Parts: sequence; C-alpha cells; structure tokens
Amino acid sequence: MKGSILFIQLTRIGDLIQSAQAVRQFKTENPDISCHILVRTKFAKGIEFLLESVFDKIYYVDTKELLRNGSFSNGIENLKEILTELNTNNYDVSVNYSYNKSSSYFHSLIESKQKIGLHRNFKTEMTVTDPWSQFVFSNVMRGPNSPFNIVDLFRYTLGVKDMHVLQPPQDDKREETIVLHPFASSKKKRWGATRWVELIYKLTRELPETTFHIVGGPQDTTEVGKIINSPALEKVKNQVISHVGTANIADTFRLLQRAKLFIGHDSMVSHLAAETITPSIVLSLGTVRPHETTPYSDRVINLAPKNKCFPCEIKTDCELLPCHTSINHQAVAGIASHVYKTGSTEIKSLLKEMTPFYFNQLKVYKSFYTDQGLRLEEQTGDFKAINDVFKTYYDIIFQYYLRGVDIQGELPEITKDTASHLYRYLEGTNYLYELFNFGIKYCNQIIKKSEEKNPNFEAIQKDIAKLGEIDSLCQVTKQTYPLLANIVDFFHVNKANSPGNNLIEIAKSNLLCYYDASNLIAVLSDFIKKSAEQQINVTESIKEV
Amino acid sequence: MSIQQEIHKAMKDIQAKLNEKQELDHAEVEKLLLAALIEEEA
Repeated sequence: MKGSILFIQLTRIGDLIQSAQAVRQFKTENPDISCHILVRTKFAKGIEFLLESVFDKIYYVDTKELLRNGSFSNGIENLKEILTELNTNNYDVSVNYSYNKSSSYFHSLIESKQKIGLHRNFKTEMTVTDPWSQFVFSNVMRGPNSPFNIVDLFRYTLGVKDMHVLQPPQDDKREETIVLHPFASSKKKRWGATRWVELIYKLTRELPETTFHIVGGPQDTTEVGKIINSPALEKVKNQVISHVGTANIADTFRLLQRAKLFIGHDSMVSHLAAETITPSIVLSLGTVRPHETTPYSDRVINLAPKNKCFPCEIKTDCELLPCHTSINHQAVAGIASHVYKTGSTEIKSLLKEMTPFYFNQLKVYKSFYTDQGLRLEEQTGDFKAINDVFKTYYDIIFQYYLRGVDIQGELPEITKDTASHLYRYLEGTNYLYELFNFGIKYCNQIIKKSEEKNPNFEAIQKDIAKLGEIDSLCQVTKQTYPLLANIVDFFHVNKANSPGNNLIEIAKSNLLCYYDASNLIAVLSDFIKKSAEQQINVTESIKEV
Repeated sequence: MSIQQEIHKAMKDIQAKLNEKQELDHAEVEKLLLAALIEEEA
C-alpha cells in the first residue's frame, strides 16, 4: 500500500526517539508508505543520524531562524514558506505525537486527508478524534495510571499489529565499560551527586577492570564536577572518565554501543541505550512514570520508589525529595554488578539473596515484551500493589475495546490488604455504572423529543442539563475513587469529540459513548470482584452490576 | 513595534473575533502558531 504520512513531533529529544521507535515498527509493516517528520531543530539535529534511519524526509522548524528578520510579520512570511513546502506533499495522513499548543496549530494548517492526534478547528477548539490519541490525551496527559509504554501508544495510533523490535547483531561484542548519565532535566528526577558518588565508588571497588564513562551536555558541567572531584573517588580517578560537555549525542551513542551496561535516570540517554540494546538500569524519581517511559527494550531494570507521593506532578513543590532516599545505592550497585557480570537482566534469584531492607521502599521492575508491547514486571514481591492491579485491568480492557485484542491471563495475586482496598472500589464502579446508565436514558430522551413534530425545547434543555450534572458527578466519583479516573477521563474526552452536526447526531454519538462506558465499567467491576474474592468474602449485599 | 507588541496586537484582534464566535482564517491561525512557538521557546 502506498501513501504518505507527516509526523509532527515538536517536543524533546526523548520524545523524538520514542516516536522514531514506533514509526520504525510501522514502516516494517508498511514499507511503501513514505514517512516524513516535522521537528524542532534544537532537539532533532543532534539525533539526525537516528531520524534519517527511520524517516524519508525531515522538516526542521527553528523559532529563532523564523524571526531572523527581527519582526513578527516577517516571521509569519517565513512560516508560510515552511507550510507551503509541507503542503506540496499532499499528505494522506498527518499524525501529531506532541501534545502542546504549537503542534496543535501546526496540525490544523497541514492539508492532510486525515488527522490523527491533537489539532484545532478554526475556532481554536482542541480536537482529538481517533480513540488512541483520546486515550493519550485523557490517560497520559491527565493522570499517572496508564499501563502502556508511550512507544506502544504511538504504535497503536498507527494500527501497528505486531511487534518489530530491534535485535542485537550476531557478533555483539561489548567492552568492559559502563556508561553513566547521572543528570536529569529537573531536580526532582535527579538522584543527586552524593548518591551517585557512593554508587560509583562501590562499583569501582567491585569492578576494578571496568571503565566508567559519564555522559551529559554542557548544562551538566557543574553537576559532574561535584561527582568526579569528590574526594571519595580520588583513588579511582583513572577509572572514571567524564565526557560531559565534550561528547555529542552521536559520540554518546557510540559509547553505548560498546558498553556492557548503562545506568541513569529517565532521560534521552536512557532511550539511546535502548536503541543500542545495552542492558540498562533506570532510576525513576519525582514525576517519572515507569510504565509509560521505560526505555523500549527488554533489557531494562527500572527502579522506582514505593512512596505514596510517587509519581508527583510537575507543579508539586518538594524540597525534601523523600522518594530519593527510597533508592539505596547498595541495592543499585548489587543489581548493576550482577547485570554487568552476567549480561542478563534476570535478577529474581539475586534479589532473594539481597537484604529485604533494601526493598521496603523500592520497586524493582524488569521489562519484557508481550505480543501487545513492552510491559514491566515487579521482581521483589509475589503480590501486586493496587495501582499495578488497576494497570493490569486497564491493559486488558483497553486492548480489547480499542484494538479487539483478547488478553488471556490470570488475575493478579494480591494480599488481603489490597483485596480490602479493591473491595472499596466496587462502590465506585456501581456509582459510575448508574451514572452512565442515566446518560443512556437522557440521550435517548433527547433523541426522542428532538424527533417529535413539535419538539419541546424547554424539556430538551432540561435533559441536556441532566447530562451536564452526570458529567459533574462522574468527576466527583473520580475524586473519591482516583483509580477509576482512566475510564472517567477517557469517556469525558471521547464524548467531547463525538461526531455530529446537530443535536440529534451528537446525542446519538454520546449515546454510543455511554453504552460503551457502562459496558467497560461493568467489566472492571467484575475484575475487581473476582480479584477481591481471592482473599475476602465479597458480600451479596453489593448491588449486582 | 517590537515582536511582543506585534503579538499583543494580533492576539487582541483574534480574541475579538473569537468572542463573536467567528471562525479564524489561515493567516490568523498562522499568527497563533508563531506566537505559540515563541512562547514555548521561552
């Protein structure tokens, strides 16, 4: 099948790499479709070598270059040139993978036959019409409980059926090196120089023949100074080499290709490590959501704190950074040393030998591929915490609802505490089921009354007001039962983007939304009941859904 | 007129049109796009 697609990715380097990883898989299934990408120069130029391996053409936009003549009106003229050039391609489809303001406007101005992802109409109202982009907008942008990796979400929006992942070369020879990236874009995501020094010191003692390469950009120079100039590392100075501010992204890529292990935060470098299929240990802190942003490789160990406040939001102020102390440098060193020596990320037996003290506040996830995508499995416990239980449910529910994929498997193993906590959520599902069924009732009333010969507009207005109340009550239910947010938010966005040019058409579209919502909440309720029943008696007094 | 002043004037005119529930034309959306790019650059 031939055709052309424009991808819009105006966000950061890590997002660009993840977009490329998804499109690479799409191109494997659709080799005759021409894929172009629109990017920001400052983020994309450094990884041009990677983007060129996936995309047939790259269009760069540079705000400073647009304003080179010094005026806004000249900037508009320069922008028009880019848009004219883009639109000469007569794209069949345009896909917006960035969820920011500029990309939504750009997308509106691309003259493609079909739009996927965020765009705006000419009243500047935001529009997301395809279901997987609605999922991203509702579940990823608005909350921390999405079960899917971002790369898989990008794949799903394109309809990619199978997994086409990178394979290591036959003669994948690695050197006795470890690449470290102890930096992150925000203080909340960064473990801190002191802990990194402790980790490096311990590893240099355990692995005296290994060279440690610290990589980072010019902005990390001050921070790396605190590490390499630490008195603790004085005696191992010749083992630790800093490339901070000197190695560019392509150099870092080559270092990773030769390394036996990468250790770092959730960052662009961790995604590069996935591209080189280097075994990786990723420290997830602050606002990071491991299930969404784990680098796309089955050779990742992701360490995440168990603190209730994790992951936090960007706007949350935090001076004490309690999640940082949950990751103990001894635990990281033990796991790193094992992965380095064995070349394997199978660590369950190792963890059993390590002191359980390390894992009181720490989750250790291992990445693996399923037929549907990349998933994480917790390695330290036999029982799933409630957040992870809901992720399992949503994986099953949304895979079936949006992709028609039936995932077979056991219900998660849970403790009695988790069962009690789950049991409480049955009430929330009951409330939502009732609300969605009221939605069905009032939509039907609106349709019936609108189709009458002389419609009673006052009565129709009252029914429309009822639908508004239902929306408000769904939001209140979500506040009380936050783990039900995925379904509430998805259908909120789904209904807001329902097709229809008049009241009857919109009411009919919304009716279908409410039917689907009520079915999904019934399925979720069933999962919760069956899971809780493993540990506690679920009384018959619960209203049957 | 500085760039910021040009943006301010353009946004004022666009907002007035939106307040009257009118649709914008391509040129106006282009102004919104460039303003957004400048805002994000900062």
